[in-house]
Amino acid sequence: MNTIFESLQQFFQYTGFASMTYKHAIMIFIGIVFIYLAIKKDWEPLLLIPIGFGMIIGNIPFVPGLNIGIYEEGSVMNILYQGVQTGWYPPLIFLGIGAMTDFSALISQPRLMLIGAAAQIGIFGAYIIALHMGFTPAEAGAIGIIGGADGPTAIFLSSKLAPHQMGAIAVSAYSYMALVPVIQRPIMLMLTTKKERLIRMAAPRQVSQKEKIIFPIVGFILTAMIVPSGMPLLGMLFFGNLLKESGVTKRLAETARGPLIDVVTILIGITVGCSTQADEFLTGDSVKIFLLGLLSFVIATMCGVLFVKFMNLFCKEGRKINPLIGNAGVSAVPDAARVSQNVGREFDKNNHLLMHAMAPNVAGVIGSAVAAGILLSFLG
Amino acid sequence: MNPFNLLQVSESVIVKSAEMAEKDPHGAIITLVSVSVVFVALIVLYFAYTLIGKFSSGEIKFRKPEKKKAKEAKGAPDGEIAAAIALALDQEMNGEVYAAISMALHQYLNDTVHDNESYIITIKRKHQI
Repeated sequence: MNTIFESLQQFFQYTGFASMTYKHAIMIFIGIVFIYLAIKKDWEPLLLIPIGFGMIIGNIPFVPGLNIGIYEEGSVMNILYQGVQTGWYPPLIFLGIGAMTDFSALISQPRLMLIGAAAQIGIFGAYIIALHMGFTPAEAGAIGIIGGADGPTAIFLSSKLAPHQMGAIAVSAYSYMALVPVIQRPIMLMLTTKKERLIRMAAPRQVSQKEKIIFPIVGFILTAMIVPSGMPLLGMLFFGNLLKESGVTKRLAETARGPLIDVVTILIGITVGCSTQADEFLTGDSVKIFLLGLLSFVIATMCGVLFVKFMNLFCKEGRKINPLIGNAGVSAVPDAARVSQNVGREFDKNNHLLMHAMAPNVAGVIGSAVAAGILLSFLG
Repeated sequence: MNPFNLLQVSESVIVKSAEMAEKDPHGAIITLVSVSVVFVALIVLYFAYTLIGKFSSGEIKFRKPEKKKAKEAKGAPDGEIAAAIALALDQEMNGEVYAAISMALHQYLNDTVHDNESYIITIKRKHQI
């Protein structure tokens, strides 16, 4: 009888209940909230469900040495985590994004590309504030990139500059991407007048197939020449787009935008979620990172909208840009563009801004990859 | 083994970060340079695509060399030669023949001889009994 009791007691020491702390409970609760928001509110379900469940996996306490934890070398989760750690998942995601994105709106209205550049100021605004909050330049750079509203870029850069904060940065980036409609709408309304919100933009011109094929080739050569350190992201983005537009690699394009991006999204989501172990994640720094991430989103949105207003000072009547597409300069594709469309239609039901907003939105993808490349060349 | 070994920052990041903290403690320089580079990259793309768009929509055209001059360079017969042939034929044959040859030459020199084929081959299946 005594032996049975001792065996049970010994077994209990191996269970998660024995090592459970309030921090683990909080992280598991956050994971469940993510899953709830994804299912009930439909907020980025493709990301929040894998991340949310990954959080639960990563915060089940266990006795070290069983070779099951994400940070234990050689464990299954650790092997899957290598794609995040060494930064080869994000370029594969970019390949898929390139293969599913239609750049026609951008090609037909290249001037809207500048909005995508203006919105990247959010990254550097957060960088300055992070420096003043006591983070090192490398950490500040990794935190600032949250303002690019681009999960894969945030993971790519933080894996190089601040791997110890990658969990907080990735979760923060994806959370705010899911909250784009909530964060951006009040800023857009605050910075625009009713008259500006009613501006109607001319329909974009038709883009030929030849232009669509030239776009990724020229785009890659020019941007990679300026920022070679952004090559993994830019190369895969434009390569994916060439697969789509060449017209002769349909199978490859379908794989890149279908099964491949799905597999990598599952792996990146679950491992990033899993990496948020309570001991590492629930710290004062994580709270600061969340705060800075929000700030960088706000600054990026403000800069995008204000830059459109600035551009309008030089535009002739009939060529003016509706400032409601300024928010789309961040690279949350196509969520930010959808926000422009929805807010625009609140004031004029027949004013469809989606196609126009897609131009700065995809420019934002290029801009954030360029910004990540610059930060990497300075700090990496 | 420290389970968080995998989370360590590389040596070069530590060195560069320390250098940057010393040179640019407030982040103003890196911000100014980085924002400028992002703008330059996208402005370069803006000019490139504006130019490509203008070529594509026909606003800007490359001047093609005139066909007539190209043919001259190759030593092809020009209008004067055709007229001379027609005159010689006029002396040798009746009017209808030289008119037909002149017309053929005229069409050949103006590249209007060839019609455009549709390149669609239609095959009618033969009904078998």
